[in-house]
Amino acid sequence: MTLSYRTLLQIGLLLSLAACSSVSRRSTSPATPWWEEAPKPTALTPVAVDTTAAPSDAVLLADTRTGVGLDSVKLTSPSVRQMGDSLSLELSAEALAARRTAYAARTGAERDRVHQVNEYALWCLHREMWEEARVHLEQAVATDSLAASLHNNLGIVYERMGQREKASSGYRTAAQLNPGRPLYEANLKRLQDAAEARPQEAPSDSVAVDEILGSPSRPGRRPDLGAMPTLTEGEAHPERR
Amino acid sequence: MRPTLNAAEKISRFAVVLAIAGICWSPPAAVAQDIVSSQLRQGFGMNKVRYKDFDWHFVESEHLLLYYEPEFTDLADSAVEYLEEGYAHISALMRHELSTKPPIVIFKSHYEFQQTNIIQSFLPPGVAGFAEPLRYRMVIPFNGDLDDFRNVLVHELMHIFQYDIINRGPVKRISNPIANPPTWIMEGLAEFATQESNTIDEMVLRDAVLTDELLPLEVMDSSWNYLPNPFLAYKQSHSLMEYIAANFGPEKVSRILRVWDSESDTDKLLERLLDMDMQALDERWQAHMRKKYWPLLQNRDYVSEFATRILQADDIHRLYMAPSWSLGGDMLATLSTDGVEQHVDIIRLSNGRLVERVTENMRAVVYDDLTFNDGTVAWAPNGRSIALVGKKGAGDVVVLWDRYDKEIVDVLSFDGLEIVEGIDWAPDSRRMAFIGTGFGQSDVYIVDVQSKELTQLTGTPQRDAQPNFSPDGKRLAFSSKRGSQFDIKVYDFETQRVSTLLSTPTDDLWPEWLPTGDRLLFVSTREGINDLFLYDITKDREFRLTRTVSGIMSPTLSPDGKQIVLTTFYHGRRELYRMDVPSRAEVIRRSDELAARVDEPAGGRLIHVAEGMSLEPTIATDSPTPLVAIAENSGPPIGAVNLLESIAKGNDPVMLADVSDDYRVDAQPSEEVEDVGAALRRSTARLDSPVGERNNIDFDQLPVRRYTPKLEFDGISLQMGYNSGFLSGIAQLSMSDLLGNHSLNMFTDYVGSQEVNNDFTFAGSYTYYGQRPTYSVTIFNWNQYFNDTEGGPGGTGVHVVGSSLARGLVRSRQSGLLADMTYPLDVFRRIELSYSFVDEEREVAWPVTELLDGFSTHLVKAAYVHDSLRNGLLGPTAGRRYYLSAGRTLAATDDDRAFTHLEADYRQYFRLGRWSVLGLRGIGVGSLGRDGLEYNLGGPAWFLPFFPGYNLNVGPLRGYPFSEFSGSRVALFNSEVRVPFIRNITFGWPGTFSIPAVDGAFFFDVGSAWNDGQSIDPWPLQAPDAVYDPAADSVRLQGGYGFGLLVYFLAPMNFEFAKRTDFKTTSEWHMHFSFGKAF
Repeated sequence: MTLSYRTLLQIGLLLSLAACSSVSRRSTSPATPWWEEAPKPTALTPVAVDTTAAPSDAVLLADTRTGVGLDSVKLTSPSVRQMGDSLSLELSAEALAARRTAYAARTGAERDRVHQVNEYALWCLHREMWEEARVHLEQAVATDSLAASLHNNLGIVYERMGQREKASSGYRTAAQLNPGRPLYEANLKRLQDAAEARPQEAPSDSVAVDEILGSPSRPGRRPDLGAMPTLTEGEAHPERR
Repeated sequence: MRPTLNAAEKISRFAVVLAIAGICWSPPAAVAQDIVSSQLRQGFGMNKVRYKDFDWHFVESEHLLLYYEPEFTDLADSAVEYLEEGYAHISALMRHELSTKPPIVIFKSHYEFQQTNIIQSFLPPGVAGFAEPLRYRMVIPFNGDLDDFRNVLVHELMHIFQYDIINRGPVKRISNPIANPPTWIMEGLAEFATQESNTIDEMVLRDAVLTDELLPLEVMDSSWNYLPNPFLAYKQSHSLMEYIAANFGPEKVSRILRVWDSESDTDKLLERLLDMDMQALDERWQAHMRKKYWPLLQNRDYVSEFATRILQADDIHRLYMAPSWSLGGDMLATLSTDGVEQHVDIIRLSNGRLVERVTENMRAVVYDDLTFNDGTVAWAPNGRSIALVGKKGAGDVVVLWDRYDKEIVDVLSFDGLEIVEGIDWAPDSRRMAFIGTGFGQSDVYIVDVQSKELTQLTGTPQRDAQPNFSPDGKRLAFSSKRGSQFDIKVYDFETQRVSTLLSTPTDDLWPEWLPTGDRLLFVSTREGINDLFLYDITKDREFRLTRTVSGIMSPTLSPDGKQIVLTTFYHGRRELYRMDVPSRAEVIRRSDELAARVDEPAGGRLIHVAEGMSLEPTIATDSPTPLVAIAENSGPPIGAVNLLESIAKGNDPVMLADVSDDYRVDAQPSEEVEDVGAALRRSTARLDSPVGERNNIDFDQLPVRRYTPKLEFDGISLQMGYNSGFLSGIAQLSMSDLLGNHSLNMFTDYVGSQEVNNDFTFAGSYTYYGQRPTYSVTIFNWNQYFNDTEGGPGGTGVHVVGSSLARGLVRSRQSGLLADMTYPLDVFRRIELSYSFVDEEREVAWPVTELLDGFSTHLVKAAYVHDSLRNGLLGPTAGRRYYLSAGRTLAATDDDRAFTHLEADYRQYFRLGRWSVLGLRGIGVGSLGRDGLEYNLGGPAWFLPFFPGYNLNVGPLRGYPFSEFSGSRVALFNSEVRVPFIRNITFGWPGTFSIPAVDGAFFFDVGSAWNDGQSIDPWPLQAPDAVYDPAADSVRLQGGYGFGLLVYFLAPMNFEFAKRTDFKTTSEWHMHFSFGKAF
C-alpha cells in the first residue's frame, strides 16, 4: 500500500515532536521545567506574607473551574509596607474586600484570557515587540488586576523598555499577589541588584535582550524567561504548579 | 480599469463548440472515437454560480436597448442618461452612427455581473465590464460609484462604436469578428472617450515616467496580453491618444480606425496618420511626458524623503493595501499579494517582515476569494480582533479573526449588501462602520458585532467612503461625493445628523481622527496630486503636511497618533511607508515651508463648514484667499501648469462633449441626512448626475418591456479538409438568446471518398444556463471511418478488389442521447450527473458491406469535483483539485455493454517561493465488469502533436511512448517541481514578440496498468535481490524521471527529457514534446 504524502507529513511531524520532547527531557528532570531551575529563592530577601491569616483577610487564588485553592495570601497594609517604598498595591480594607470578591468571581474564561494575553505577550517579546506586549498586558491588567502573572510579565516589558520603577512595581505586585511563586521575587531581586550595580545605566539592547530572553551563548541566563511561561501556565492550569 | 476581454475570450463559446466538433470528427484511419468514453472523462474547472434568478426587463431609448431589473430602476434611469450622453459625445468624436441599437445589460453589483451567461468564462474581480463584437452586447456592473459607472458605460460604448466602424455591418461582423486594431489603440480610444483622469491614474503614469518604467509602445503593440503592468498600459494608451489629439488634432483620433481598415499594420497606420512610425511616436510622447512631470521634482518630495519604506526591497509582494495598525503600533495587518495569492498578513514594522499570515488556508473554506479593496482589513482597538472581508456566495462577508486564539470567531453577512469595504472599528471594539453597496447604491452602515444589529447611517445615491470613528466614538467622519467630488462629512451619533466638515474644490479623502479628537488628518487632491493635510477643527485651519511627487493613499494613524502609515506608488509597486506626525508647532512650520515653495501665502487656508453652522462652504477668517483664488491669482507654481490642467478637467471623472472646467465649489448644495434608524433604507431620491445638468430624457416615458428569450445567431463555422483520399467538411451553427441563458449548437458533417459516401450525420445540443443548475441535452447520429482490421476473409481486414488486395474501410455509426446536469455547490465544488445512451454499429463499408458488431450502452454517471487551484500560464501554481467519479451501465440485454467505472484524481500544489511549485498527483481508475474499458498509460501529460487518436489515456508517465501500457485498471503517481527561468522576455527580432514565461521542471512518475486477475509486483522495491518473473500474473511498477523545459509562446509547450526505470535499471534519455499546461 502506498503511503500518501499527507500521511508521510504527519509521520514527519510526529517524529519532530518526539525529537523535541526528548530534547526537553534530556535537559531537565521531567518534574521540573527547565525554567524553574535557576534563580535561587533562598538568596532573595524574604517577602512578608502572612499565610496564616484568617480566610477573610486573604485573597484566595482559586481556580474557579476546578475549585481548587492555590494560594492564600494576606494583603494587608503592614505586609505591603515591608516590601518597600514603591509598592503599587496599597489597598484599603474596603478595596481589598472588593478585590477579594472580584477575584472569587473570576470565571474560567477570565483565567483563560489571562493565559491568552500572556501567550500573546510572550510571542511579542520573542519578536522584540515591546510596545505591543506592553499595551496588551496593561489592557489586561486594567481588566484583571489580580493576575500576578500579568504584573510580572508587565514588569519584564517595563524593564526592557528602561522603565525600572514600573518594572519594579510590576514584579513587586506579582510577588505580593502570589508570594508562593519565587520567580516573581527573583525578578525583583535581580532588578534591584542590577540597579545597584548600574544605577544610571539603562539596559542596552544586547544586555537587556540577553537578560530577559536569554542568549544561546549564555544559557545560564535563560531562567529569566521562565517567569513568563511559568506564569502563563500557572494561570491557565494552576493545578500544575 | 475596465479591461475588456480579448478576442480569444470573446469567442470562447465557439471555441468550445469547435473543440467538441474537433473531438467528434476524426479522420480516417484514426482510432475510433467512443462517445461513451468521452462521457467518462472528467473535467476540472471552477464554477460560475448563478445565485439569483434575475427578472429582466428592457427599455428602448433613441440609440440603445438597456436590460435591467426593475428593483434598480433609478440606476437604469441614470444609465440611459449616461449612455445617450456618451453616444452623442462618441458619435461626434468618431463621426459615426451605430448601425444598430446595441443591447446593454447592467447589473447592480460586480457579484451579480459575475453571474452573466453572455460569456461563459469566469469573470475575475478586475473586470469592470465588457463589450463583445459579435452582437454588440455590453455588460456592465455598478460598483457603488456613479462616476465610475458612467465611465465604464462610456468606455464600453466606445468599443461598440469601434466594432461597428471596423466591421461595417453584420456580415463582416460574423465572418471576421476579431480583426481588431492593436489593443492599445482600442483601449486608448475608449479611455480617451471617457476623458477620465483621476489622481490615482495620474499617480501610476507619473511614477512610470519618473522612475523610467514606461512600457515601450512596441511591446504594448505586440504583447498586450502578457504585459507585467496592464493598468499602466491602459493609462499609457489613454495618454498617447491625448497626445495625438493635442499635437496632431482630434480629427486624427477620429480617423485612426478608418485608416486601420486599409492599413492593418501599426507602423503603416501611424505613418499614414501621423507621418511617423511607432518608435518615433513613442519617443516624442515619452519626451512630452518627461517635460510634464520632471519639473515636479523641483518643489515636490519623493515619499522616501520624509518617510521610511516598511517593506524590504527584496520583498516579493507586488501590492499592499488596507494597512491597519496593531494596538501597540509594532505591527500592521495588511492585504498583500505576490501576484499568485492574496492574503491578509501581519507584518512587523521594524523590519517589514511577515510575522503571521492570517488567512492561511481560509480560501475555499471560509470565503471564495479575499476582497482586495481599501479598508477591507481592520484591526480592532482592543488589539485582539481583526476584521477582513471575503466574498462568499453571492456577496461579501466580514470575517472576525481572533489574534489571541488564532481562530475565526464569527462571520458576518448582511442581507442585500453585496460589497463591504472601508471597515473601521469603534473605540469600544464592538461596533464597526463600513461602506455597504447594495440596492444600487453605497452607504455608511454600522454593525454591532455581538448583537449583529445593522444600522444604515446614510442613504444618498452618491458614493460614500472611508468612515473613521472619532476617539470618543461619538462621531464618524467619512468622505462622501457631492456632485463629482469628495467632501468630508461627519455623522453625529447623538444628534443623528450629518454635516459637512470639509468641502474644497478638490477631492478630500481618507479622514483620520487624531487621538485628541480636535484634528483630522486627510488626503486632498490639491494640484492634482494626493497629499496629506491636517485640519484643526477647533481653529478652523488646515495645514499641508506633504508635497509629494507620487501621491499618497490610505493613510492610517497609529493608535498613539504619532505615526502615519501610508501607501504610495513607486517603481510600479504600491508600497507601504511610515512617517512621523509632526508636533503642532512643527505642523505649522512644515505647512508654511511647503507653501513657500510655491509662493503660496503661509498660515493655511480653509474652506470650511463647521458643525451646526451653515452647510454652505465658507472661507475662514484667517484664510483671506480661497484655494481656487490662490491658484488663479498667484500664478501656477513651477511645474504645476500641467497639474492645474489636470485639476481643471481631472476632477470631473467624466467630461463629455462641451463639458469644460468647472470649479464648482457651490455647484450643488451639500445635504443633511436625517438618521434612518435601524431599518435599512434605499434612497428614493432621483439620482444626481455627477456632471452637469441632467438631460431631458424622461425614463418613465420610455417603453419598458419584459425580456423574453429569443434565439439569435452567434456564429456559423464551416471547415473543409482532405485527408488520405477523404474529403471532409463540418458545419456548425450556434445560437443563443441575448442573455445567454439558452444555447443551441448544431453540427453536421460530410465525410466521403470515391468509395463510400457518408450518411447524414448530425449532432445538436441545447444547454440551459438560466438557473443555478446547468442542464444540457445532446442528440447525435455520427459516423466515423477507420481502417478495417477485422473484416474480410480470415478477419484480417484485407479484401480482394478486382485483381488486387486492399484494406477495407470500417464505418462506425453512433447515435443516441446525452443528458447532463451540473449543480455548483459553490465556486469550487460541484456535483455532476449524466445519463448517456449510445447505440453503436460497426460495419465494413468498403469494398463490401459486412456487419461486424453492434451494441448499446446506457450509462449513468455521477461525479463530485473540487477545484480551488490558482493557475499560471504554464500550469497550476497553488491550491488543489480533485474529483471522484463513478459510472454504471444499465445492461438489459447481452447486446448492452456492462461495466462499472470508478475514478479518483487528487492533485495538490505547494508553493516553494514566488513562482516555484511542487505538484503532486495521484490517480486511480478502474473499469470493472464484463465489458470493462481499457485505459492507456504512457507518454506526456497532454496530447502529442499529430497524434490522431482519442482514447482513455491516463498520464503522464514520461520516458515511455504514448499509450505504452494498457489495462482496465491504472494507478499513477506524479511529482514535479517547477522553477521559474524567465518571466516576460521581449525579443526585437524577427519582429517584436514576447515570451511571458519559461520554467524548468524536474519530475518523477510511477504507475502501472493492469487487468482483472493480475496483481502489481512492486519489485524491486520490496525484494531488491529477487528476479522478476514475467510469466507470473503480475505487472511491474514503471517509473520515469527527468527534466523539462516549459515554454509559453502563444500556447504552453513542453520539452521533456526522461529516463525509464524499473527501479533497478534505467534507460537512455527519451524526449517528449507536447502542448498544454503541466498537470
